[in-house]
Amino acid sequence: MADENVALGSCVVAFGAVLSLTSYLIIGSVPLTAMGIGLIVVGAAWALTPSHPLPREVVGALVRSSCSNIEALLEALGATKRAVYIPLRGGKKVVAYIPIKGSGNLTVEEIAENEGKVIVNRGGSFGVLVSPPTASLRNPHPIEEGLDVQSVLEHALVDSEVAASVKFVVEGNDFVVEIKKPRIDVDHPRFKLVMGSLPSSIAAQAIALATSKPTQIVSEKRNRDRLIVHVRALNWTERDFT
Amino acid sequence: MDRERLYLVTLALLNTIAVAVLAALSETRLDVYVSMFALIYFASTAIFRPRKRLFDVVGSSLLVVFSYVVAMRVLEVLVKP
Repeated sequence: MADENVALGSCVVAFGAVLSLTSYLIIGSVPLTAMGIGLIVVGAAWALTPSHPLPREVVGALVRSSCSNIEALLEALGATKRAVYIPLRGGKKVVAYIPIKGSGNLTVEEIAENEGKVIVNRGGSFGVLVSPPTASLRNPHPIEEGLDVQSVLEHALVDSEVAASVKFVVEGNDFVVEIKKPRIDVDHPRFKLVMGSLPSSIAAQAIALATSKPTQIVSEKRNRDRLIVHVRALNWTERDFT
Repeated sequence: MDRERLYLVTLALLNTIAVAVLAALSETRLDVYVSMFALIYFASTAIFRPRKRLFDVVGSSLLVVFSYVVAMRVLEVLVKP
């Protein structure tokens, strides 16, 4: 069954069509015809607007609960090293590799080969692959094909209502991202140490997806209602990311 | 009020104001009204950035109509002796 926005929008479109046709053909009034066309525009825009299946608070609670589970896992493993966000080959998902033991033995490419697994135990390196929390990275209705960093960042952070606005500059291999008024965050110390704060983590995932390169949060600084995050784009052959 | 609702209310309000003002000015060209609707739609969409469940059919239709109106006006000026 169609949702209420489609039903109400269609009613407005139908009323607008009847009003404009009647006004044009029978009454001969241009302003009334225009009013009918205006109603068609508003009705169609209404019908195209999706209703919220879940309230924002519920989505926030789900994301926080997901972070709590990751926090528990990180505590149990004693993880302290920064996570690497790896875009998977399909280009639709990003996973986070959390190094636990051993460093410099595996390239990011070799870690990505363990797609679908949770534990990576190879060549003296031990780490885990987790799905980091995110609202939505990829716009389901892109206006144009291809991904650019700004549009993916805006979709992941602004359209998902995690933050009010986002912009970035590139400095060598680093992306300096400025996130204004972050609305959702978590207070888990281990999560913040390893994955970064929630908006930073989402920004790192968005950059990984848009550039098809692994990323790592280098540093983040909070300044009143702004969050400045340094995200480094790594090479697939990089070993010294820990 | 969330962003989508605000967008729809603004769109409806501005369309109504546009019709009222143009009607008060005794405007009888339908293309002027439609051009105003197109401008209001694109401005509101750019400001509020509402989520859409499908490709923006309304925007595309308005763009086609607006282009046609502008083309006709330009042609009128060029062809005029």
